[in-house]
Amino acid sequence: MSIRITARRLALTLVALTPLLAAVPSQAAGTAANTTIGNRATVNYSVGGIAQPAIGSSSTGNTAGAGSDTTFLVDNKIDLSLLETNTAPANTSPGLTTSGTANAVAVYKLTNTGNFAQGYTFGVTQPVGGSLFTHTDTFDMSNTRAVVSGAACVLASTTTPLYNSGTDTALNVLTLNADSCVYVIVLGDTPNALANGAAAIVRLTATTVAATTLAAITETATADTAGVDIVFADSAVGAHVAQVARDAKAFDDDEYFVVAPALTVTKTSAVISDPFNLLVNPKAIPGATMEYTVTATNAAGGATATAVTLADVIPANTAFVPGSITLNAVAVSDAVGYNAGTTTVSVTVPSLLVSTTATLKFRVTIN
Amino acid sequence: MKHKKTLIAISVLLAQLLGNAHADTTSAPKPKGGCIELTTIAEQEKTVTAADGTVAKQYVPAARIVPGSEVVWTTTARNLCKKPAEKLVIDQPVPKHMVFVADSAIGGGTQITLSTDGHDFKAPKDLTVRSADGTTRQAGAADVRVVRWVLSGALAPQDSLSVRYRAAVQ
Repeated sequence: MSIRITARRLALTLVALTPLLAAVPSQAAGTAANTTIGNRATVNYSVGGIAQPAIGSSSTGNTAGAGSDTTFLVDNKIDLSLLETNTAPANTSPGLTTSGTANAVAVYKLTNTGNFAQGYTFGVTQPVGGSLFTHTDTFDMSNTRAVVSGAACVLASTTTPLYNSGTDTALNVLTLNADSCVYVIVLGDTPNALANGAAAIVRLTATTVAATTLAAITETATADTAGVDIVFADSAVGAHVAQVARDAKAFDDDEYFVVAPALTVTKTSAVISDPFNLLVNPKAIPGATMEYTVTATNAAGGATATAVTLADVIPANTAFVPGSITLNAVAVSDAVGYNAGTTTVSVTVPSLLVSTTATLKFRVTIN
Repeated sequence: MKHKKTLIAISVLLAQLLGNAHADTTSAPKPKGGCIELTTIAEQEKTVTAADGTVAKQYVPAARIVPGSEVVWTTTARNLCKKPAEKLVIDQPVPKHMVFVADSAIGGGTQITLSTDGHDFKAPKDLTVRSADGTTRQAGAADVRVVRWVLSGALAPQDSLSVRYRAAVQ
């Protein structure tokens, strides 16, 4: 008796739950591949005014009883999106290798928009010519390669991870679930002797492969099979660049942009005093004191120059005035700034910012 | 003994509620045949352009079904008896993972109603959904869970009635 009541309650609960279960939203990428979808119709009718037992359908025709579901399997939809994340170039400087952390790098977000877990392999090419971010492609990076970022990827997030050489080492994505994303970074070395404003367009191509094995996949070319077929569904329309439709690949461009310091150096001299006129209208005669001013200016629009060394050999027939060196009006000791052996004044500016000038002054007397 | 019977009753009940296809086709003995043979097939609508430029719709067996694909569920009732079948009502659910396509239900000589819960059937414009906060709103295509066709007349012996609706894979 008690069991019967339980059964009735269970039935009520299940009836109440059915609409709720049906209302559970599927994921954005859609019903997972290999899901069986089944459907069964029911007919009620009368013959000669007498209601007959209901009959359920089957795929081949059923004449009595509940019947059976007519089913099909959801096939494997291959679709992906690959987008450069920050819509701006990654700034670099001549001779820089992107092997350390904290460098600006080309970052892409790869999203599996299909309905099953897939693997991905990557290739980097460098289109010749063309322009991106209003810069014309003028050079190629060397040693380009793609690595998978270890940073967690959130679909809705627009943040861009930094490169971390410790964790960003994988060359392929073994498994990326449907509706999930991963960041991929294109690294490269910037050749030396590039001018400020040089640009290199890099193109990352992601190819869908079988999860885990990374084996190549092909579309099911034959007629529909009873099993899960593979359907390439990637569109020709790209968010940034036109794609090839239905090739299970996606690509997007980013850019390395050279921001180099542009230094201008000038040197002027002035007579400070002579033995006869002293400080008033002094002339450059033996025994007079001369002051040399060397300036280095880092132009606007470039990058900070580091370890800028200003060096000057004192002229012949002059003698260095001890204790006369200043850098930006701050005294520099002779021990640091003057080499008596080579008669060279030399000071190093650790960091010269854009649009700033370093000024070195020193004095000599005319023999 | 009594308990055992009850347990069987529960499992049959569960099988029916969950729409378990295996329980009723393999284990249960086949009941005596009724007058209607009911067949449901999954098809896809294909637009075919003939050599003379005329465009026609064709129904082909469903193939390459991926999220977003539309499937046509076609159910055919055939009267096997020598007497007409009256008051013929066909109910066809919208399966899980699928969304009903608005205005896609067709069936010659039938009155078509829709339901969001399998109990109340109404014309599409009268269909409402009760929200969690108690308010009701006009039902959309995504709310439709069952489609019902009520045949106006009788189905003559050996005659067939085919009804269809389209649904998209989520």
